[in-house]
Amino acid sequence: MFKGKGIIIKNKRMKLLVFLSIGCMLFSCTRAPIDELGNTTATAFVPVYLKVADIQAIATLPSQPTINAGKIYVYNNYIFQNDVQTGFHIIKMTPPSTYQKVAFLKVPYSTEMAIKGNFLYCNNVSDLLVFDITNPLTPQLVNRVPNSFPVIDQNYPPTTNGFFECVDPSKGVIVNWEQKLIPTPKCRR
Amino acid sequence: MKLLKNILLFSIIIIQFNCSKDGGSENFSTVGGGTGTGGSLARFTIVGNYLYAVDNTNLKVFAITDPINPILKSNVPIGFQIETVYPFKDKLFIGSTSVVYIYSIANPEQPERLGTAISPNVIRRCDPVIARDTVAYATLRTNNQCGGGPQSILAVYDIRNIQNPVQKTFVNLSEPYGLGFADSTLYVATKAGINLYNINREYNPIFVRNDRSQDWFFDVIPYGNVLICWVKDGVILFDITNRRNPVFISKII
Repeated sequence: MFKGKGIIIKNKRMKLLVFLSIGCMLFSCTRAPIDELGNTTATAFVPVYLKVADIQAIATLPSQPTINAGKIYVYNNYIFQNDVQTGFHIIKMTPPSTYQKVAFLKVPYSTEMAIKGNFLYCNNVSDLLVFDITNPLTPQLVNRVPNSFPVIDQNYPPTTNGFFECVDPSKGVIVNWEQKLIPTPKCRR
Repeated sequence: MKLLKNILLFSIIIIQFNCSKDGGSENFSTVGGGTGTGGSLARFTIVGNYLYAVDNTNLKVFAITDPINPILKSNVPIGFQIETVYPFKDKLFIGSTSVVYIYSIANPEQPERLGTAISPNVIRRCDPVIARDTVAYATLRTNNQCGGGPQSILAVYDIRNIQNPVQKTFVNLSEPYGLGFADSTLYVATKAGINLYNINREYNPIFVRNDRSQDWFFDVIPYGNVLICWVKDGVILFDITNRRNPVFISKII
């Protein structure tokens, strides 16, 4: 049928298509690279763990530079600004001219806050915390309501139909799922 | 193909995260004695003796009658991609990437849906919303993160019939985030500075000026004569004794 000559592509468009297809194939190969140990690697969801002790490492510290500026809240001449996932900058307002940081309330994995009557409410991974801020320079943790905002699935990554690194609860609480290139992930959903 | 799907899904998650982490502003109204003021992009708000918190899909109601011991009273499914909650009188405006939900908290432990506000201009966006009296303002931001059409807008809703908010008009603007007002001046945080609008005629905001275009603003809280702004690297404060002429006080980084 091909007269022993193999396939001859005459059409220019067709040629381009074949060329592109080969290009795509080559490109797709890069998706499954070999790591330095010779394992095939794949992109998969990997749990980010934090030890309970680290999550609950609440502290009042001297004022800190702002790293990742987050939400703001104002209460009785104090501004609270979240530093995303690390805590709250406490800024004292003394109008008309003095506005300065006075302390940093370290709350790992916090993003939200609200205040009423000298009590500050915020999140700490999935827990709801209550601080007494009668003295805003030294907030006191007075309650923890566990599992109020269970947003991070402790068993599965946020998507179905893919591989992920198996969960090991002994490593701590999962505070995030990240996508990474890892040696052949074994769990699948 | 699966990889591609995963990347796509992951991107969507990132998008949602990005949407939810930025912006936030607040009006000037009080929400109860001894209660602070948050932003229009806040996920927590306190009204009376209740803390309202939205996650991606639900509204949680905590009684804080005993302030040290919050008690979960209800957990109301709202919708998808919820990002913000804003208190207005005995109502909550809940912003998602597709629609603003309006809930009554006349019965504070059992929020009840009254209506939804939808802009005909933009399909998907990040949309903080604020309200006063008979009008609600929402910024509908469209960009790579939030999807939607080519143009971001400031949408103006007539909320006299709270069950059926009607978009009265809109103003084009570039990459807006949170917003807030003091008297008849509306402040809108944008990626390139802060925009001021005259809202003397509430349904027809008139652009006044843009300030500090070198800074990326996410949110504003008018607090007396001080405008507190969340910017990319910290906080910027303005004196707004003259509402239409903010005077820079300082930047706290």
